[in-house]
Formats: sequence, structure tokens, C-alpha cells
Amino acid sequence: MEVRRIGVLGAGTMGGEIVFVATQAGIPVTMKDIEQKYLDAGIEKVKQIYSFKVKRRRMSQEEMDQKLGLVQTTLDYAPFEDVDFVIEAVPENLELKRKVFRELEQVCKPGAILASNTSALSISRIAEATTCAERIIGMHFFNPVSMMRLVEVIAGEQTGTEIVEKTCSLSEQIGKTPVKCSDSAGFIVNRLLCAAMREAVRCEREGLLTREEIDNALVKPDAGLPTGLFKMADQLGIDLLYRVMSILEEAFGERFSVPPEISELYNKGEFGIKSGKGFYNYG
Amino acid sequence: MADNRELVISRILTAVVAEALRIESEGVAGADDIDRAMQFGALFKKPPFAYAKEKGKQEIDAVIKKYF
Repeated sequence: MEVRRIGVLGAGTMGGEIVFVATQAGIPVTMKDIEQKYLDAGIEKVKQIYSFKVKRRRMSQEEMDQKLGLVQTTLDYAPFEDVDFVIEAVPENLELKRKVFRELEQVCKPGAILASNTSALSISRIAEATTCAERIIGMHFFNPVSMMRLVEVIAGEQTGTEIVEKTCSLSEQIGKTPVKCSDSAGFIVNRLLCAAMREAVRCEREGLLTREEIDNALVKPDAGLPTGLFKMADQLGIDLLYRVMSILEEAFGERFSVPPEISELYNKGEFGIKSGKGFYNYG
Repeated sequence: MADNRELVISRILTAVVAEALRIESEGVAGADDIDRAMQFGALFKKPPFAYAKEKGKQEIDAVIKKYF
């Protein structure tokens, strides 16, 4: 089955970047959101990424215009009748996603694959709100999508094997590296990053090193992280980190208990860079 | 201080190994896939199974036993 048109639901940060990646690979995209201002912001994001490439002479203006010509936007579901593959990137709320997937089931053609970019919710719990669970799958991209190669491909309890294979194929077609995993809390990357984060906090708490020293150590060649963990938390957002860690605690128990240092920052609204303060101070 | 640096790096990366071993034993993903995920999704130059191989089973087991 050739994917001739992708539907992207949600024109937020992830949505815009996914539209870029799909059009970059020459696939027409229909992007939907609930308000024009979100669609406009989404298109702006796509243009921004392409403009940067043109500026760096990695593509010509003509090529950029041609790629942008592959994007259709809509406030209405009707154009989704033509899509072969949907990537849902709406806010992380189970009830919202269940509602949206019920709507997608109504609107899309019977063979369309319906993928969710969820990082925190269960694919199976989303899919059970529909009667087409076998063609619902997780396709978890990483931020920023235009640069990060990984896609975690997550089969729900009912997801068909051929759906998994087609999702992996599409991932490769758009220049990504798919990794299959089961529908388990945190999948692979978030779960392991949280394990690392908890240990970093524990080492600081025990007075072994300060957070600056820990972060400095982690980017040295013998550790090989791209950035320090406390820094990463501030970049990602402590609110997001707290949410993911709470989900892992609920799923796995004590060994993923949310460290008090993180709960404290969360309760104080010190979410990191976006709040001007987190593990570090900014500005 | 230098000792603490090495210790902290060892504990953090071994924490990832310990959890990666659980992910593998639960059947959530295989070792190669886990390393690939951490390489391309978290930009780790030393993803867990590669790191464990580098340190050797004895050292990893010792750190896990002591701290996890």
C-alpha cells in the first residue's frame, strides 16, 4: 500500500515538524487543527524549517515552494477522506485522543492507518475507544522531529502485524529510523531517560557532586551524553518530566517514585527554561 | 573529586543498563533496538548494552548489586 497522502492532526510543535518531514520526502500532507491561528502557526513552523535550509543553501527557493505546495490545511475533517495514513499529534489527554480516534474512524477510508504520536498514553487504551483497533498504532517522534532520527513504533494489543510493518516502512520513507516496542509505559527512551534522571538526582542528594558538576561530567567522552540531565530537564520542561515520571511511578512502582526535588520544582511552577527557573536559573 | 566523577557517571549509566535489562526481559524491546533507540532518540554515544559490554559483566553486576 503506497501512502499517497498523510493526514496530520494537530498543528502544534510536533505537528508542524512532522508536516515538514513528510513533505521533505515528497508526500502530500493535509494538516488539520481546530482554529485557523493554530494552522497558521503550524504553516509558519514548516516555512521556518524550509527557509533555514534555503538560507544554508541546502535547497533552492523553487524546491521549497514545491514542497510547501504539498501542504493542504483544513479546519474540517472532510479532506481526511483522502488520506492513507494519519499521524495524530493533539494534546496529551486520553479522553481527547479517544474522541479524536473515534472521529478518524468515522471519516477516514477503511484501510487508513491511524497513528498516534503519544509519548505518555497507552495505544491500547486509545484504540479500545474505536472498532478498528487493528489499524491503530503508536508512532512516537522525538523533538525536534526535523533533526531526530528515531521513531518508536508501538503496537497496541490489537494492532495488526502488517500495520506495524507498513508504519516502519513509512518511517524509513520519511528518513526516520523505526524501532519497534510494546505498549508499555515510557516505551524505551523516556523510561531510560527517567531512570538516568532519578539516579542523577540521587547522586546530587547524596552530596557526591553538584548538579553543574554532574552535567559537566555527563557530556565528557567517557559518558557520552549530548547534554547534561539537569539541563535536559530544564529544556524539556519540569512539568513534562513530572508528568512522565508520575506515569512511570504508577506503572512500575517505587523504583520510579518521583524525586521530591522534582515534585518541589513542579509545585512551585519552576518548569525550567520556559519559566526562567528550574534546576538552573535563567535570565 | 575525580573519583566521585567516575562514580557518578558509572551509577547513572548503570542505572540505564539496569532498566534496559528490565525492558528486554519484559519483552518490550530487544537489546539492539534499545541501543538503537537511545542512540537515535537520546543521542547517547554509549547506549546501555554497548556500555555494559565495554565495562564487562562483572563490573556492571557489582554496581547494580551495590546501588540498584
